[in-house]
Amino acid sequence: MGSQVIIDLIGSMILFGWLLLTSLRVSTANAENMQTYGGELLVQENLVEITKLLEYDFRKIGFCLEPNKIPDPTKSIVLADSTRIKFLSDVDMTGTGPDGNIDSIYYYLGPTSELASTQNPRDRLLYRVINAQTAKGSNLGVTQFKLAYFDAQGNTLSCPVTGLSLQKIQTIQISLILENVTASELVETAPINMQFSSAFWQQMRLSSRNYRNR
Amino acid sequence: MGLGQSLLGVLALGLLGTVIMMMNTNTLDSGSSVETTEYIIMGTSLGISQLERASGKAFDENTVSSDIGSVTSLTSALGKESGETEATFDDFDDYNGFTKQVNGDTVNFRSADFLVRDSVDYVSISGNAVAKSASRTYHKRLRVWVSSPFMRDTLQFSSVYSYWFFR
Repeated sequence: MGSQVIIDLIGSMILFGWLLLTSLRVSTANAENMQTYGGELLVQENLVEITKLLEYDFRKIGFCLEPNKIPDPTKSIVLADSTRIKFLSDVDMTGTGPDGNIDSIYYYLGPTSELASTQNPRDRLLYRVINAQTAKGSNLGVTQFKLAYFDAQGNTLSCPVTGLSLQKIQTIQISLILENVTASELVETAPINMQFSSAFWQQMRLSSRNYRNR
Repeated sequence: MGLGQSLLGVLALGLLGTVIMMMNTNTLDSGSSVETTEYIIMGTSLGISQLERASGKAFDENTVSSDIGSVTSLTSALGKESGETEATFDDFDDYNGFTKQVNGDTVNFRSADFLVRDSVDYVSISGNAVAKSASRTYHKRLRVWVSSPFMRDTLQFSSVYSYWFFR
C-alpha cells in the first residue's frame, strides 16, 4: 500500500467522522427541539381547555334558570380567596341544559405533594367540585391559579374576601400558569438543565352578567 | 485523492450543509409558530379583558346614576368625558378612541408588547346583522384591536352592549 493510499484513507476517515459527528449533533438538536415544541403545544392545548371551562363557569356566576331561586345575585359568591372560589350557579348536570336548581361550584388548587411523582415539582391539581361531589381533578400541569377581586371602583379587595365584602366583588382577575409535567432534558447539560414548557393566561372577568341588575 | 473523489467529497459536504440549513429553517419556523401562538393567547386574553371591563360600566354617561326613557337622552358624542382616565371610566363609550400600550413585563411573565385600540359606535340590530348606526340607539358596539410587533395579524374583538333596566 503506497503512502498516497494511506493518506487518502486517513483523509476520508477524518471527513467521514466529521460528517458523522455533525449529523449526530444536528439529529440531537432536532430531537430536543421537537420535544420542546411538542411540550409547548401540549401545554397550550391544556391551557385552552381549562380557560374555556373557566370562562363558561365564571360567566354563569349568579345564573339560574329559575331566577326567583337567586333573588339577589350579588350574594352568589360565597367564598373568595386568592387560590379558591366558590359560587352559585345553575350547572348543566345532564347535558340537557340548566335544570333550574341552584348548584355550587368550587374551584381550588391542590398541594404540590399530590403530584410528587411527576417530574415537575410545581404542578398541582386544579379541582372543580360541584355541590357535594367528590373532588376530582386531572393533571393538566397547573402551577399557578391566582384570583384577585376588585370592587366597582376598581379597588383591590384583600384576600380572603369575607362577609359583606363578598357582595362588593365586581370583577375577578384570573391568572393561570401551566407547565409541562414532563421535562425536556437538554442532552448537553442533563440532568441539571430540565426545561418545562409553560404558558400563561390572565384575564379580567366580570363576576357575572347576572351579578348586577343594571 | 483523485479529482473525482475530491469532487464527491465537496458534493457530500454541500449536501449535508443544505440539509442542515433546511432543518434549521424548519426548527426556526416551528419555534416562531409556538411563540406566535403564545402571543395570540395573551393578546386574546387582553382583548377579552377589555370587553369585560367595558361591559361592567354603565351604558351611557347619562345612565350612570339614573334611567332614561328615550334615545335622545343618550350622549351623541362618544368618548371619555373631560378629565377621565381608564381608572375612572364610568360608561361603556368612554373606551371610544382609547389606546394603551401593554408591555410584556407588566404581566409578570414573558410576553410580547401589545397595543390595544378601542372604538365604540352606535349600532342597529336586525336579526343577526349588526350595522353601524348614524343615529343614537339602545345598542353600542365596542371593537377592540390588539396588535404586536411580534404578531403578523391584528386580533379584533367586538361586543354589543344594550341598554336595559328593571322597571
